[in-house]
Amino acid sequence: MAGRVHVDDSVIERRLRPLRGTNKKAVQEADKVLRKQPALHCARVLKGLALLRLGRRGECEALVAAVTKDAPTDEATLQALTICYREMHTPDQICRVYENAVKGEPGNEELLSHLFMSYVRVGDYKNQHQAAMKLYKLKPKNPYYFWAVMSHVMQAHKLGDAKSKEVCLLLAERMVNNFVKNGKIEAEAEVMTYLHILETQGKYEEALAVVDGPLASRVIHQPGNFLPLRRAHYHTRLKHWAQAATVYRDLITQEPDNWQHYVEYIRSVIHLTTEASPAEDPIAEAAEFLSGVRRKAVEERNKDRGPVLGLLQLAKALQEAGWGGRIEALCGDPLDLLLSYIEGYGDKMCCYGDLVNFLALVPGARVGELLGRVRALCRLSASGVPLDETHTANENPAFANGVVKTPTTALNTGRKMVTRISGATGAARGVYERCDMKHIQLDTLGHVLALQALDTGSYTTAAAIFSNTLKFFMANYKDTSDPLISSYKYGSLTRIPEFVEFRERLSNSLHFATVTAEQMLLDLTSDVSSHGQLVEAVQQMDIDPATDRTDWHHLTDNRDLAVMNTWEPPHRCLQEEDIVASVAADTALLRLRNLTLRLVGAACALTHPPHHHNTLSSTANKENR
Amino acid sequence: MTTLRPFRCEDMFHFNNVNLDPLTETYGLSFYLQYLAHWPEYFQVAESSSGVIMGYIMGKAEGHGENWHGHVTALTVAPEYRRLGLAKQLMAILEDISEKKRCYFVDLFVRVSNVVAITMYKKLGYIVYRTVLQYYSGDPDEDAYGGWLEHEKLLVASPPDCSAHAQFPPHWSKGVLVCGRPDWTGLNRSRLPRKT
Repeated sequence: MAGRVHVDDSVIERRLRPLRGTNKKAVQEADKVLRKQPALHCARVLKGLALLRLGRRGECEALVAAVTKDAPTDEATLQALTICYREMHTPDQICRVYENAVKGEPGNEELLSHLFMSYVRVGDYKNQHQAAMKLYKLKPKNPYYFWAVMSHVMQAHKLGDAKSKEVCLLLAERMVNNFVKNGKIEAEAEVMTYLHILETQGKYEEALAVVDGPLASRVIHQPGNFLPLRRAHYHTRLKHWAQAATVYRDLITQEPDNWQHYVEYIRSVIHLTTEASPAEDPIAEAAEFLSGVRRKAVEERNKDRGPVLGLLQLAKALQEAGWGGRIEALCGDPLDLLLSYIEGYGDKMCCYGDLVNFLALVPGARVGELLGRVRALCRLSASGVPLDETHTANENPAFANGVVKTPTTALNTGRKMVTRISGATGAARGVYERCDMKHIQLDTLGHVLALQALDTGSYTTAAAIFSNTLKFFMANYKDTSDPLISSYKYGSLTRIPEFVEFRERLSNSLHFATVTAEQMLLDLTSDVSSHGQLVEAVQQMDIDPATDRTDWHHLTDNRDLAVMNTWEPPHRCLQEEDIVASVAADTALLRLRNLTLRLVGAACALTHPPHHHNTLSSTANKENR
Repeated sequence: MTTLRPFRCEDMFHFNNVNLDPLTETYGLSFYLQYLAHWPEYFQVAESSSGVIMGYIMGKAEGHGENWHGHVTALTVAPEYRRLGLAKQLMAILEDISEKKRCYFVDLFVRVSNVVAITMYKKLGYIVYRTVLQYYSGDPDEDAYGGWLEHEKLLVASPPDCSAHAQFPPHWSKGVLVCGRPDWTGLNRSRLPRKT
């Protein structure tokens, strides 16, 4: 406020403009402005920001802390402070800034909503709730009320023990119930939030009542199948198999290629059968219905694969339920079903993926027969040579070459091949770069090259990949904060728990922890050439010899191991236990690397007593945890 | 054999088989998350029976006041799952939602060299409106929101009789080729009746 007393806003804006330029210039310009108006808050903060970006964190902290103490309430200063604290990775300070500002102007809706968002940024759900309720009392707008509701939901999400979770969700539900009773529900977002709360508590009867009641008319922007899908889902959870089957059956009729409907329909029918009276046979009815869907698709000659595979799914479900004997009578010969699919889609890449789950329906004794019929279909000889008259024996290899060299095929294969290259780091790096791996791929696909480069002594490659990877993870917190705030603003409230889980999964990434440790070790081995430098480096890394901050129980394996189609027989495919074993090995290695780091840290501490030194990366790291 | 459902954050952990395709861009996290926060219903994914991501569509509603239109930000299908009509299904969802949001038309950009995509859009009833020449400029990485502009030339789809091109930023007007769905036009027409 001090800055606004005597001078007109436009003049201030004009004076502040040069401060937003390059950092060094900004500092000079800020000093000029401050000579005229020493108390101008915004100028002081912008100077601090420029200093921070010049790496002079200490000076920045002092300047900014002084301004914060004055409790400014003007938007420009508050925004500058927000940016500053975000860049310092201390988002909790933003809460203090707005708390003070709100104290100064308690009736300011804008400030209060900024305060709410500042709590969102740090996940302080209790204060979030209070700020939202204050907002609602100030201006009774539905979104503010639902911000408060959602704060309860998130509090439940955060709490570990079941009892407190239940209490929070009950509070949230009661708040919404109140609104429903008074007919205050207006928007789709509010109904979605209500459903979310009921689902989380397992109150499917109540959820069903919402979907079947007048509130459903508020749901207007969702895909057409949204409400029926919800209804069917609730019926399934309540074991209302007959009702579920009816809804899914209708959905299949409306969307014959949406596979989830088939899976759920057949599942419901199988459950229904165990409960049905002897006079009824839901499975036979289902088989008839699915055959009808299939017949219709064949007649219409459309591209839908669902109808062709529906009966196979039924056959598979029958086999799994122990009613394999009824397959032939109800679905026909699985071999015929498979072949009729192959006839239609055998030339498509999706064929294998679509059928692989149904291959178990073919008894071992009939595998030869199936292969024979597929060969006949493809016009291949028993040894796999094409019998096509259009290609002579000599033309065949040329044709095959042409296929392999098709640019897209080669490029796609090449892109995926990087997963198979190890050892030849130089070549691997070439492929890796052509894959243009970035952002989340540094986590999901980072395992293909990062550590291998280190192991083969390609330190430049390793350092480059590590640096990109760590940059990605460090930015995670900031990258996910703004969308969280947007979710509140735009009413995508039910996405909030999902965003928070996503953020946690990223910050708990095993790969992140591994790369962090490896990067530190790499720095210690490559950048340090004297004892003094070692001590300095170790202090900067903020290594605590006594404790390991890794959250071992929550480390997540985020690797994407299904990038490539595998054509191997089942026993040579990647098995679940292989994955578990590799995670265990990687975790053990991480323990070893962290121990090594702490040993180095301890050795340094013995020679030089540690003094507090907080680096940017270590604070950012804590923030991500 | 395809499950069409809303995109979830965790899909990003295994959408590589789609995104490693040279014509599909991988954006920064905030890009996907902002779409999920802002237009969650416009972000749909096609999943195979074995849980493999086959493709996805991202879009948004743009405009102000009464004048809104749907926009396709990204539409991609993994090479293994092409020529199965997936893109058509994904577009149908986006068009349906646009209609529910009372949008007047849907527009999109596509690389001029992407003949396959252009042919598909034409089949779906879109027409080419304008070509943006030498669109490709500046820093190609960075700034996720600008990322989708990384094309040398672009086509925009929108109804021919709409005055919407007046809304495009001036630097686009140089040569944007806009097309549209003739059966779905409207700024001069009264608002589309809401489907019930």
